[in-house]
Amino acid sequence: MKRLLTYLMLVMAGVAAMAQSYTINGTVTDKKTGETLIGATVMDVNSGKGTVTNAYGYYTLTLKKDSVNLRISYVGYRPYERKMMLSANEQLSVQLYPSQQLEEVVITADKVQGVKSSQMSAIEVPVEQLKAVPVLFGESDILKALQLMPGVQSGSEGQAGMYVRGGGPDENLFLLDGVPLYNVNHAGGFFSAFNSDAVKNVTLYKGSFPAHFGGRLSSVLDITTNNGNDQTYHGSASLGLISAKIAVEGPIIKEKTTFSISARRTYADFLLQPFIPLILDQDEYDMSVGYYFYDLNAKVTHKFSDKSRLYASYYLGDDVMYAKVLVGDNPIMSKDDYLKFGFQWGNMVGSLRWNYVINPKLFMNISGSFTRYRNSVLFGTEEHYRINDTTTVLDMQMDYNSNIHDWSGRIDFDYMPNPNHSIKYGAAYTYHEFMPEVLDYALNTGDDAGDEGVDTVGTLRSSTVYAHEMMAFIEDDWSVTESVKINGGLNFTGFSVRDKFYPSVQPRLSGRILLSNDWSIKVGYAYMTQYLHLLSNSSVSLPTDLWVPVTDKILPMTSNQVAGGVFYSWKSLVDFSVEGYYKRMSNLLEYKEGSTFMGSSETWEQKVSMGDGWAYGVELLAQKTVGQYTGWIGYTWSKAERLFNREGQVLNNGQVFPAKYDRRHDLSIVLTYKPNDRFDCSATFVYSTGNTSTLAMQQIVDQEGSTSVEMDEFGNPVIVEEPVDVNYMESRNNYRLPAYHRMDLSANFHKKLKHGQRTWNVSIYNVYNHQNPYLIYQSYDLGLTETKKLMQLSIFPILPSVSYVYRF
Amino acid sequence: MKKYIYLLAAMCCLAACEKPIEFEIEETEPLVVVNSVMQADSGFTARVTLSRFFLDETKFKVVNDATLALTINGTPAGPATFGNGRYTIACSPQPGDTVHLDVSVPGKAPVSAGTRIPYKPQLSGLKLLSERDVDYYDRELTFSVVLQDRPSESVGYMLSAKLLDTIDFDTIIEPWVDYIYNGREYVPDTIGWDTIMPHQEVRNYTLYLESDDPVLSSGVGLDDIEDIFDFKAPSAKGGGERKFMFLDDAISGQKHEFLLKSSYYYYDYDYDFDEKSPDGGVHNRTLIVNVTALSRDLFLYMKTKEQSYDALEIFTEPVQIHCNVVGGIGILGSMSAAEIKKNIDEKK
Repeated sequence: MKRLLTYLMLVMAGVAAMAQSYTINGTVTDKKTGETLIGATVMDVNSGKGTVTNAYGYYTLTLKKDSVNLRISYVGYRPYERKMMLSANEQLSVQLYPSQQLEEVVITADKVQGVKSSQMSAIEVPVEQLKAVPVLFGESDILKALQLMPGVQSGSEGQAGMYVRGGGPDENLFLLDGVPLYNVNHAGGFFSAFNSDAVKNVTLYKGSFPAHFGGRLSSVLDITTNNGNDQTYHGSASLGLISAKIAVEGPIIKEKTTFSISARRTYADFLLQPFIPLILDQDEYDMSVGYYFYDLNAKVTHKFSDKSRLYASYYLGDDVMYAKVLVGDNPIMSKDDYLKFGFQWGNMVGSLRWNYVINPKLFMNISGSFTRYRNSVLFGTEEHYRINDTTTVLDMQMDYNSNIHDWSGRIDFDYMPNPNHSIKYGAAYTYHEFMPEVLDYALNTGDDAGDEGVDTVGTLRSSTVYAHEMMAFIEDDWSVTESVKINGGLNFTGFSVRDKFYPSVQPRLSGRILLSNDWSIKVGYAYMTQYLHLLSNSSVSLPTDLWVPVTDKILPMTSNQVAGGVFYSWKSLVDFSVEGYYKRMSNLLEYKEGSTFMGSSETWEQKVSMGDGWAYGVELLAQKTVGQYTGWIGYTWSKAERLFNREGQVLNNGQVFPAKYDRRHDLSIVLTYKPNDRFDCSATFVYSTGNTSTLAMQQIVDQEGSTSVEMDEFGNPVIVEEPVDVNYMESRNNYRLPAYHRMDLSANFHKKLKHGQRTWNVSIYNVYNHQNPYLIYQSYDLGLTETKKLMQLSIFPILPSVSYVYRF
Repeated sequence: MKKYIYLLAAMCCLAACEKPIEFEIEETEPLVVVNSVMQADSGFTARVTLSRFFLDETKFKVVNDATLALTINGTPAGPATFGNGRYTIACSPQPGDTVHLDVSVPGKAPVSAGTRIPYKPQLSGLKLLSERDVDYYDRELTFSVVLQDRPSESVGYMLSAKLLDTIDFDTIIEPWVDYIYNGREYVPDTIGWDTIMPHQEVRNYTLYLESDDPVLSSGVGLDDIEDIFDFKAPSAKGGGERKFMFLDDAISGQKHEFLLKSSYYYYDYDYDFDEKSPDGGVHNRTLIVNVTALSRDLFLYMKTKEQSYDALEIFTEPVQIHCNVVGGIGILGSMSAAEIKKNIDEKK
């Protein structure tokens, strides 16, 4: 505390010393759309001092009283330059023109966030580039594009789950406009919940986390959605192989109030419905089955003044799976029996944020939000009785659901007392309501003659856990000298659940030494604490995976991560980086051997083991974000291991074992070529060491029953009678599947039409049709003798797809 | 045109369906498997086999040319002889003895294992606390028993119970039941349906145990130990019973009273326990509680092997069977059993 006070006094002294300084502040926006530009560089060329715009496009730059040559730049926009004599505080909001030219020199920005930033282990890729990456069914997917970055891995093929630097899929904080999302997957993980049409900016932190982030161990994915065009109405509609999307944006009050709405829905359930009777034998089955997902993003922004803005955001996304099967019809009793089954899971997020510029050096953001995550499994029966011309229905169903409700409030301040310090501080509070595995029932009767009958509803089992999570933080991005920059901070958190309070003080530190204008060395350290666990099966990721809070027995997960790297920027066109990291994690959870997720809420604490883990690796990245040719080459060498040897919680006999997604090598190459406005194309190649799998490679005989011993044809004694085979696995995750690799291609053909532009997209997933293993299982050939064999399940062969987009 | 659009869309969607292909995998070498359970005052018996690669279809190989070296408290015992698929060594280990086994199989690396013979569990205070009819045919017993854990050893326990009911009748016999009287067995066909004769019927009820005791919360139903190891243990036997298995960690070195409950189905419709013998039968019921102390390795082996049967479903975590054979697979375990009896009809 004493040190903190000393530090604050030093900062105040710095403020006093800068008495002859003045501040330039304002927002940077797109001239055509009015969208705020996040991460735009604002730099005084004369002094070399600079900053970047924050998540709301706001900047503040304090400079000495002197002549100033201000340059504001952003990738893909014409830079803004202004020379002036700074003799008073200046309010300067700038609108940048998107560049129509493709010359690299024009659209290159001064990259304060690259070589020169104190931040490391962060990934910023222009959204347009992420959207150009060819993916499954031609459905552009930001998460899957990020999985091609070094240090980020996917789970099994096609899965959207992220495994960052040896961490688990629950260790990633997904922030949508600053609000955490629990479930970020559609279709069991084959698609992410983020509609790329609604996204404006994406930043992924893999380590060296700034102090204003907290709550997860392994990564923070900060996604900002579009505000909406404040000048004119625009939109797009697209039709793909599996989904249709629509997006509309525009001004409600010109240059004051804007809206942006985008929606997406899959329609395989509609398309496949006519074929179900053909696929199934209609005489035996009367069945309706279907699956779809949808999501909706909506945002309204109102600008009260240059100092004050209000944002209201809403997200709704759900997956729905249903089946209804006729299991029996009794013509004598005129009665039909149906079985029903359904799955539904998804998020709903609503948030309200207010930005206010208190003074040129102090920016404030206040936000409140509500998050609802739910998953539900429905079982039921329907009995239809036909009496005369009336059908009476007796509908009984059980709904096995889990819900999380979070109410959050947060206040953030950005304070820039002088050019050498950029201070952030704030606090947040979240009230969690966990309702794991609630069992509801409903009994409804009614008939088609209008009689609504009797409804009975109730809850058989419900247990709600309430928790309070609080956080306060302070961080300073401090330019110590021209070449040395440090970002240091503290994140204080506390979690209160069932009379137990877990406090945590998490120091964060990262630093940069600028060797030259193009070279820098960076180091970072972050201590993280996580109070939520995701209980998931080790073999399959399911929407029924349970989020549970820490308890008096289950401790918070913690991690210590150190990282270091060398960064080089070649002519501000190509960025190279080499980063190494070591991460140690404690109180990780795994299901105990023989446990199953079913019915686990009441006793889940007894079904899990707590242990430790560590991961280390080296990541190489060469990235070009501007020009006709863009893309990146990423390579990761890594190792991730687990050790569960605590008393009563031993796994793998207390020995070290590889984490499920431990992979030694990961290579990804992404290349995009855009020669003109009418055509662009992309290619992706990925190669990775195979996943680990637990395979019982040996079988032993179980001496059950009275087995006898006889001699075989060689005179050797053998056990006859069919003994019971017992599968014996030597260790957990003992088998490594074959390497994974594939190539994807995509091409876009654009054409300007009278009222807009159309784009045809043709893409091919897994061009050379490599049979990548999704899982392996044992099978039998039933011939004259039964022969055992091992089968590999591959789910995605070569998959061509076409989509059409119309933009207006 | 419409149907072609439907067909194209469906084909594209269905193209993503699973495609199993045969998977090649490098075959692993068989490992030496040793299985043996020792008891105090009993000779040593072991089975030595070879494991097989999990896709292998050949029979399991019994090893008949292994060299076994057994030491008890460091003193060699033996020699081992092979017969009927098993190795036997004449010896008489005592509770607390440390046993070490080395097994050499030609062409394989030697394997070894060790165990310590547990002491007999100390049982006391078997009490019938209550009994009542829960429905027409089921009767519930509530009883308690005290187990003193030895602080000097770390073992697992298996707790089971049964009820032995000897009924003396002097009524009309029922033709579908075998009768014993004065040690002689009467088959119903040999006697008339309406014969009135004194006879005795012995009913052996295996009790399905229930308990709220947190020490027993991890209890699992397991196969009888004698089924697994092909030898007789003095434990309750029968299908469908529930035995509690637990490690002594929860009661380490302490005396612990277990409160147990069990319902058993009795098929004597008109018998009223509150009246002495309205059906003419005189019941003489003995409650028997058995506790077997298992070496920790044996406990873990039994528990994990049982779990491994249930772990074949895709949503269940795989189970690694616990072994203590270094360099191979299997178990060298040891056990000691004790039982306590109480005649619960004495008071009537």
